[in-house]
Amino acid sequence: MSSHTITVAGYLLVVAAVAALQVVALTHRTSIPTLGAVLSRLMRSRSGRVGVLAGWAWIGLHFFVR
Amino acid sequence: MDEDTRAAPRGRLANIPLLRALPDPVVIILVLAGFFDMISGNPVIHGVVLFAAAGAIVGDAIARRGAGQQPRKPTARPRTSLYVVGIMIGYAMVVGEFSRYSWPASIAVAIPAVGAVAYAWRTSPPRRPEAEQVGVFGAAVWGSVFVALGVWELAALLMQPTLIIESYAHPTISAVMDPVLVSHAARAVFLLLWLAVGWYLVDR
Repeated sequence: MSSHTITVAGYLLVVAAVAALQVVALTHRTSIPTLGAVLSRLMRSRSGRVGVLAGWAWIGLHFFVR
Repeated sequence: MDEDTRAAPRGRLANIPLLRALPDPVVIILVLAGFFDMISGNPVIHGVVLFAAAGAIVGDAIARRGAGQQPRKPTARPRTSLYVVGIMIGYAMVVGEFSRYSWPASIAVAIPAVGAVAYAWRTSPPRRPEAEQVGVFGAAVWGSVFVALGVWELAALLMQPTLIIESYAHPTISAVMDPVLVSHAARAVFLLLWLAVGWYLVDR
């Protein structure tokens, strides 16, 4: 297996982990919250709201803005 | 209780000078992200946005400490409608036509990006019962996933020939996405998802 494949597999593993955690949070009685709940908790403060939205904005800038 | 007072250290902890001096974790994350963005050869404005957000948060915290904290009512949230969905799809189709890093694309993406951050700055979130149920364990589980992503991305960045030359063997997320975003359709889908996530976050 090449280094390229392993690196990309790492990213896919994270995506799979996010999906799995979300499914577990939605379908089981567990102490794992949904991602939406975590974001709501994080964004209760102004610094959290601005930090999360700045991160989202940066993604758009990173891929499209010169 | 107001959301901004909830974010501050309370009770006896608030009287410990070291804790009061500790920077907000959000500021640390923004500064680290801005630093690595800048040393990896990206346009300066990308890192500046992250540093500016960090600086604004610090400045706001200092100003609030002096002026005291005023209770704020939650702000009414924008509603998702077919009209909004139509605008998002139209935006994605039009802006997806533009070449990446062209001036039209830059302006078209910067407008909602700046607008959303400004909106987040000026508004207070609604009360959400599910937010109250997030415990330390749950936050740690989700946090560990995103920390793992950050570490993996950083490892790929540091294994490039240089910080500004991409590596096929150890691609960063940007390097993985570059060939995908060559096509108009892929850019339109990406922009639609980006905009939808932004709308979702504004509603949090």
